[in-house]
Amino acid sequence: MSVQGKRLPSGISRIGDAALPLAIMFALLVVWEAAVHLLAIKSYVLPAPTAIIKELVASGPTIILPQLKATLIETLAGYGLAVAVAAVLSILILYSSAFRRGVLPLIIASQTVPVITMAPVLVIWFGYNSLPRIIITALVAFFPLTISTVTGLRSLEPQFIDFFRSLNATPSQIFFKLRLPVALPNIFAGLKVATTLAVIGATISEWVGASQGIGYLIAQDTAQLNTTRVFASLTVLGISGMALFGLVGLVERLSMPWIHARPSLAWLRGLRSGSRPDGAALRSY
Amino acid sequence: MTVLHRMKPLVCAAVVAMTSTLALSSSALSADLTKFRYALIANPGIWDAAVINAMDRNFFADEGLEIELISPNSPADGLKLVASGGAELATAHSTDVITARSKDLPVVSIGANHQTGTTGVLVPVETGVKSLKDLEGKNVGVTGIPFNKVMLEHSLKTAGADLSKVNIVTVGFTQMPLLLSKRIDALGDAISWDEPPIYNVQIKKPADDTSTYTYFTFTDYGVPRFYTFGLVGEEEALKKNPDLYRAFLRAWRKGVEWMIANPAEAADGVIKKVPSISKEEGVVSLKEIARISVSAETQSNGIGWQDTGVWEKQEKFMLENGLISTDIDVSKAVTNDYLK
Repeated sequence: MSVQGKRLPSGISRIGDAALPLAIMFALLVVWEAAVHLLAIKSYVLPAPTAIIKELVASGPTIILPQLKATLIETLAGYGLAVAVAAVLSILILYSSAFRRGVLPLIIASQTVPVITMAPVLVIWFGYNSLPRIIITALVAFFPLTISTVTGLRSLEPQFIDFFRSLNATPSQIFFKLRLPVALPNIFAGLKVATTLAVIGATISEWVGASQGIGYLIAQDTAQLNTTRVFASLTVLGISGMALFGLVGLVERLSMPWIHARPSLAWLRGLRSGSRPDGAALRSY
Repeated sequence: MTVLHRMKPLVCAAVVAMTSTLALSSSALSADLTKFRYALIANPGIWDAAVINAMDRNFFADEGLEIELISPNSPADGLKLVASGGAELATAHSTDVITARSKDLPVVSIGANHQTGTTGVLVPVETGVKSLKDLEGKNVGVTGIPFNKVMLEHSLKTAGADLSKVNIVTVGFTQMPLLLSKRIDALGDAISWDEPPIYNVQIKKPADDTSTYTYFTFTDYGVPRFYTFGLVGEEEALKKNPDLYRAFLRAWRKGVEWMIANPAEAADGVIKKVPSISKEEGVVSLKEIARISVSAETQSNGIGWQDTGVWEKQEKFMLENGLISTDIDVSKAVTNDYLK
């Protein structure tokens, strides 16, 4: 963001970054509201944004938020499980060519199975508790996380590993001090995608064998023709997904200060793209 | 060879002429028919035997109608389609019609296939459950349909069971596998024409064996009689095209009557469209559907007839149990005018 070649202060830049999507969203809401009124669209087909806000105020604290708690617990548990599974799989894929050749195609093939069709089977296997829902959430979220982690871990140019080896670095030092930091942008990209998928996974898992949660509430309200509350629930879900996404983004910034806080060290990205850092930058690293 | 070679253009011309004639007559036939969009309650199933067979046997075509079947995602979607002009008619449960009216959807029930709902509890005999009170301490799986849960709780209370001792769990539409794997002890909202034959076939018994399970119908426990699988149109559309709806109902009635008289053939008609349906289960289901398709009122007034009093009692029951928050005018939700 610059004016006549000068960089704007970062605070102003951030306000600008936030203002644009907010302005677009506001414009879309205005168009939506106008369309509902001008075209006389019934609320059971498409409720107006103002009606959704009214519904949020009316039933948000008493009906939607208590259900959100259950969904968030499943989301976080499923997300945690997905992270753990993705971490183990990524390490195995990275270090075992036999595992990579034998299991990676199966993992990819597993993603062609619509997870919702697995839900009844998981309920039968694990009973009508939250475990099947947590597993479904993890199944939805783990794949992009695994792929982006593997991509990140394998993206390092061999000469950097050779360089570390020439300094007598142990395999664990190479992993933790070179491979992992270089892979972090990919890992966090996967972690951010996985947050939104985890919210979706937890919600759809509640359509089968649940007695609570936002997904359960949406199913009940759909059956009861409470379309406005369905949209209000979706709004709360959307906000939750954005909050989780933002939280992971915050952790990302804190975890990679050398990229986010010091633009002069942005060369680190070059390690993954193959461009060589200059000697001074390498020394400072 | 030479003769055949010479005949080739003649044969081609004949084929072209025949094809054109067939295409023209077919399009002329199609052009004469009025398109009628009919939303089923879900994907086509054995419960749609009357309509599917009526289509196959040209009952609708004879009335000048060309039926386009729509499979909505949920029963409520069918009503929304009708209310918004996306379909001329939808199949719907009376509960959904009352709920829709309470939300100002201008939908009207113009006929009912199932003259009484037979939702109830199905318990395998080996559980030793002899009454609804015996369900105390048992796991009862329900689909999560609000009206069904209310009926179950009402029936349990009527039977003297302590609700706090019955573990009612929402399991969606995975009830049967959970019952078979003994994760639950009973189906809390089974339908007499659906789950019993499925259960029997799964445990390798004849589909019509009634000795393998105990069935408690909710209407035997104080739940008022209610209609299901009704035909629902939109107020204005009904007023604008009364003859269109009368034509549909005439053909539909013929379809129901034919289905009642020929359950095995009717099952075949559905299986042709939905090959995954088991003939054995289908025939048992259709015999039960045939049983509940007639009532004292239909015997006097014909298939599909609805008693407004039945609707009023159901509406009161729903209001008392918090399923709707406002009273509705039942006379606007139900009519027999198009059956006349």
